[in-house]
Amino acid sequence: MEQKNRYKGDPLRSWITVVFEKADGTGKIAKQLIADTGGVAAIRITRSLLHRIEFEPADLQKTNFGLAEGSWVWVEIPELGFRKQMVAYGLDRVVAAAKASHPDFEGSVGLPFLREFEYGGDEKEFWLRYEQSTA
Amino acid sequence: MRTYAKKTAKKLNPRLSARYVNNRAFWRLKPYIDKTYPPGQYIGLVDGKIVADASDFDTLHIKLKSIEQRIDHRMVVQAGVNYLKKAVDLLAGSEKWNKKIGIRAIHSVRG
Repeated sequence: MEQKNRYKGDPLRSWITVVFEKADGTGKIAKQLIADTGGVAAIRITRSLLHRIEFEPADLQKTNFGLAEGSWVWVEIPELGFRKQMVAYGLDRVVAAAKASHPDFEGSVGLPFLREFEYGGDEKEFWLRYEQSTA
Repeated sequence: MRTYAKKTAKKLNPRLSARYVNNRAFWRLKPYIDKTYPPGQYIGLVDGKIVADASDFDTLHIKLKSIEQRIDHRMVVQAGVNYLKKAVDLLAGSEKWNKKIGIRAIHSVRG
């Protein structure tokens, strides 16, 4: 099973849709995030979104664009059968940069997230594949 | 070192200040955590002290909530994991920054 998305934005970006579980148990939120294959953080989103989906605080990270707050969140890609708790970081300036490419983008996922999957792309699309561990 | 931490924490808003205390404690305790707990074990800190641990996230989450209800006073880390203290994010580069380092955009695809 895979998630395939046509590049979009200006400049064109590879992106994926992920679902976050709200921390207050009131449901889930789907977001489109740029697949930043050189990104050092698993997930970068706005602080306001982070606070809605935060289950526990994690570390703080100093970045070239300010202090990034880390939080443990539950992230899912239902069609791939993927569900895992991960550390996401709140950094509004990254989201602003993502939105400058396309207003649908609400942040980015980086290598620590993408290494959970097999991923790739051609001249039109970016894809994500996931093989569930049977261990 | 401790005086610097207190001064820095004072400058931050109260929510971030509590997190800063735990973050400082985590980096101070990291060698002990990595030596004492099995890799991947979830460790819970409250106000700069280790208060609980568990082999899975949900168990620790429940334990921590019963110990401290104010979320910003809690912190969870994993033993043996290398966290980044500092990170450079190229995606957020301003036009000026991007020009300086010689890129227009990263990971763009020409259509």
